[in-house]
Amino acid sequence: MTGKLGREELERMIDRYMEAVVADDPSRLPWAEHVEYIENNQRIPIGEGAWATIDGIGAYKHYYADPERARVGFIGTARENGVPCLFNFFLELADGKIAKAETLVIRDPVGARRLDEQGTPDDVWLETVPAEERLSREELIGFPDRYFSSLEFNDGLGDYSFFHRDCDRYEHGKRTTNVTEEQSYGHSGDTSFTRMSCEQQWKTGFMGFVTGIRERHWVVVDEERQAVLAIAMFDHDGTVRSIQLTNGKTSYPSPYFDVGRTMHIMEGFKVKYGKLYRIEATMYEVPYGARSPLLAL
Amino acid sequence: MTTEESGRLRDGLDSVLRAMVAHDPLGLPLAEDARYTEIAQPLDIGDGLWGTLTRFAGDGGDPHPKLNPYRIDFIDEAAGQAIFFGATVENNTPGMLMLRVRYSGARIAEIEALAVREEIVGDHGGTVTMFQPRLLLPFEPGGFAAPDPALVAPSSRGDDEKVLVAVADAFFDAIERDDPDLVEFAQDCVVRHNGRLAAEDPDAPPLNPEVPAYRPFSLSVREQIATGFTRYTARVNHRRHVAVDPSRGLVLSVAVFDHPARVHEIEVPGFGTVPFPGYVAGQEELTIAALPGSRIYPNLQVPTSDLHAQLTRIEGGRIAYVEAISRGAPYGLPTGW
Repeated sequence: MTGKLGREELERMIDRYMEAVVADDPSRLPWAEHVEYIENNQRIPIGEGAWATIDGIGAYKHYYADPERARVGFIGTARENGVPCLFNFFLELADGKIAKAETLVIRDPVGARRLDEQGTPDDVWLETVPAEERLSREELIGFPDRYFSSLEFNDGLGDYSFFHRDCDRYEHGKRTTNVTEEQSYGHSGDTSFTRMSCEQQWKTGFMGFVTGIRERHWVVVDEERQAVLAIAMFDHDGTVRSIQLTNGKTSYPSPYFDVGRTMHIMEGFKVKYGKLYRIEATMYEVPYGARSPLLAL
Repeated sequence: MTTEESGRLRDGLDSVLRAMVAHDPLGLPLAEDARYTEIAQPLDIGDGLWGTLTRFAGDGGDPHPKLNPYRIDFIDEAAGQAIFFGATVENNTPGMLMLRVRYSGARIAEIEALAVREEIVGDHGGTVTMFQPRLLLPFEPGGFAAPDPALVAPSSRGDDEKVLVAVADAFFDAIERDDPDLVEFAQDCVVRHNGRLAAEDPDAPPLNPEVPAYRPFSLSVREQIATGFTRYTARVNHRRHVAVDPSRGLVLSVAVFDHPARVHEIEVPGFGTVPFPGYVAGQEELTIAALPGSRIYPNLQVPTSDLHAQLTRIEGGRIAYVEAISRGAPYGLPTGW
């Protein structure tokens, strides 16, 4: 039956899944005989982890549907012991039953509240693109793949024309491109970076502290909306002590990068006008070098 | 410990540490299928600490403002194994490292590293692990100035290896089952965790400010367990007692403490209901803002695991001293071994 479920049915499975987690009751769901179940980078028994603590569904719900592969993904919010958190996951169904489930519970209440206040994804994410105007799955995947390849060891010297000039990136709901107010970025005190467009940012070479983006899984390819939901492992191996920026200045990574750090990323990408148009990033830190437990995807 | 073989193992241990500092493992006598894990993750030899380790206790270098001399070695000729438990600096960040090196014949077959580093707070320069609940007792490098003589002095009690391992393991049982009667503690048993006193600390803060009188780290370890403090730890998983040294009554153990967050509060006789600390709904920003000045980060309401390396000193079958380092990790972490 793989590929037979439509967007509505797939999205309904997301809702059912959330309801079951909130109820702390996995028996409400149809599980395949063999299930790959992963939460925050670990294989744990179904019913442990978030099942114990998630007690409410949040306002922000962004679905990614891939009827071709009977997969559906979700970047959204929930309540954990009443506290906002990001609750992201994807499901793969086999004969209508859950065969793979990977969840990222990200305990960033500030980011979760920001998303809740936003309520719904930006309209651009939800646009249905006429079939004759759609890029192929492979072409869609090419955008996040180029994005990742140009981000690791970013030196500012690559071809970043795959970004649309109006492309924006949001990290846990926080806009980190083209902002007009003063805002620092990540672990740096730099306040000019977030004022730039995506392409301008990449051209600075500032992101050179990212030393690898491994195990890129295109877990959901939403052809209808021309979007891709990806899971990947971002490495910062701690060896980059200074970064020569293309403007001639030198950037020194913060003490955070004195040691190896890896982020388990779940990130959405929207393609429009033949370019990368929106990026929705979420992340959870895991021990350096942790591998994605996803099997043969 | 003066035989030629123990000297070879000790030199081999230092050669691995020096190779890490040199960022160059190529000169090491590695077995073809040598394994390396760091914080429970299988890594290529040459990755991780091999790129970041700058100094280690006993490296013979000049004094370094962030390098403590704390170092305890374990040499086990029968197992072909040498272990470093000591202070490090990675780039400019102090830490503690357990590094286990096991030989197979003349070749290094296994290297296991468990690193715990200082995390500092601050909006941008901060190194606090992103979105990971912090430990109750975050790493304090100043607590590792040197090993306490009470931990490493020669033992006259003569416990054999079997007894030492059984007692060290029983301590984990006591935590797992919340039953202090499963193990015996010496009077004045010292418990230190990440360089901080974790028992009988007169300055210990309350577990939860809502119940200011209940201060588990001010109690003896036995009393702590008896009051239910350890109920948030459901399992002490993946236990391995990787070194046993009867001459000092020491056991070095690696384990993962699993906290599934199914228990949210405890009833403590004399204190009433004590909620485990956690984010308070509607007050998240206040909770986060309170972090810099607080030893206790509210982390016991969500599923987590802690990866531990623990030294347990046992005298006459009783636990006399516990020196543990640990770091938080995603719930359900295995150790990689």
